[in-house]
Amino acid sequence: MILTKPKIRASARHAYLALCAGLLCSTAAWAQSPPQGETVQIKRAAHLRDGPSESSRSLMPLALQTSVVRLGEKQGAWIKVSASDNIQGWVHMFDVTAPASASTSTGNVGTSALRGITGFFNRGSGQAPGNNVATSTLGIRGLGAENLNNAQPNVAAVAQLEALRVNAAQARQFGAAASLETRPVDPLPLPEVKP
Amino acid sequence: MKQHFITSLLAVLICLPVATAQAQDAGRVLNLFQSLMGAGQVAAPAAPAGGLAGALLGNALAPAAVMQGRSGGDLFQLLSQSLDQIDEPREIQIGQQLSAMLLGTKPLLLDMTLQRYVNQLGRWISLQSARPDLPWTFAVLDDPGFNAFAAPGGYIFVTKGLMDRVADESELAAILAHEIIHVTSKHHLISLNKAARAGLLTQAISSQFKNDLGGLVSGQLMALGRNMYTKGLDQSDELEADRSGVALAARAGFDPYGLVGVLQQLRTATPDDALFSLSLSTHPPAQLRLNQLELAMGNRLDRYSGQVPLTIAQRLQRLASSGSGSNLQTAVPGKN
Repeated sequence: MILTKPKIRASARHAYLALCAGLLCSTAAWAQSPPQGETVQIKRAAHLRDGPSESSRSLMPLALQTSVVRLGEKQGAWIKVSASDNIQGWVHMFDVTAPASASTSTGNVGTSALRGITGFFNRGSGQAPGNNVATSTLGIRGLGAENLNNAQPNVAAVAQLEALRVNAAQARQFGAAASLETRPVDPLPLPEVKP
Repeated sequence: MKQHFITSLLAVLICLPVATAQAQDAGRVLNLFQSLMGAGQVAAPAAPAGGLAGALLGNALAPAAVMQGRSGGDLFQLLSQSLDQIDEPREIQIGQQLSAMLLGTKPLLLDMTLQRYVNQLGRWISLQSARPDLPWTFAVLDDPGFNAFAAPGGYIFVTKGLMDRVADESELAAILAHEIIHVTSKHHLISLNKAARAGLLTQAISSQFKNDLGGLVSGQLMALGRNMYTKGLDQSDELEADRSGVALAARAGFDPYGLVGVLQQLRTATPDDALFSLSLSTHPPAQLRLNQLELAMGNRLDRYSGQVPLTIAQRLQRLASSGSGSNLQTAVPGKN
């Protein structure tokens, strides 16, 4: 239960806006939804800590395969969880994993799933069904292959898009206003264990 | 000869007032657009009003301005040869065409505050990338799903559903950084090039968009693009974008664990949720991506972690109240 049902606010549509290259306005609001209430398993011996850092006091040791429940709060690499006896504390994200069933579920494709455009999270499902690679990926609804195949290129919207650009100076102003500081970070090494 | 000249002259004289009237109408529509959006101040620095008005004139005039006259067919020809043929301006044109295709599926979200913010955030991150001088362009699509895409030349899209569901700014930054790496590493171009050279397209598919928009959008390029966005990039490209994206986000001042948070959220999404759907594929699943990230990150970046994260709502609020460097004080009328 990490996602709440959308509360669709009344769509505000305006005839003039339709003229503007078909931009339609419809707004929807969702609650913020970190994976709250999810049960996760400790995957290496760790400690439940009273703060989000390695140096925080240990509240209790957490043995391998201990189940803890996520409380939704997150800070950096640390998530707040509830352990046995309802003791609450923090564990490192890399010390937990999903229960075995959650990461290997293959299941049938949701009935309303549009086979889709791929992006950050999904590769679509262009591959033949029934291959036995145990993966679960997420597709999205609405921006699917059907849309893609039927869509006429909207060139006017590209111009609108480009009008939204900010320049480097404006971006630096934003960085300063947001107190973002650049740091020298080396590239991460390619893991030796290949997928 | 003479007769022809006179006819031409007449045609010009007749067309002139029409064109002016069109421009004025577009200007009015633009003003309306901006007043509804509260975007007067927002749009101005990024583009002269005339440019946007031109854009809003619609398909008749915009394509020439946007696509700069190069025919999509030429681009396809170049793509089927060698990647060396694709210089930066051509890469950007390919990105424009694929963006036009993506925007044909979903409209831009009509929320200038959010669009502006995503551009500020994305552009800031892009400045720390290997290609800081591309004309980076970010946009929120009006779609309730949870996804992000990129196109060559620096075009990056996130969905409204994603904006609503990221836990904090470090997660959004991580997603934008991941997409930025796809662009800087030219993952899409390489994929298009491979497909074009393999001659995977039939004439039947490629003729679909022929003559649309005055032939400026290439049917073949669209077919290649549809194929790519449906099949996805190579798994190794995705894992590289994860790994390099984490470093990029950290370089730009964000918590390096943003992506880990996103992937953990993704891992727990349930298949019966209407907005997420579960499907079989060979794309790296969230758990695999998490494992690979853990191997790459170890505790290397932990010293950059631990700031208290700001939610998107908190960031928007701060930008609005500070007013500096953001132009975000122009709240959208009628919205809360």
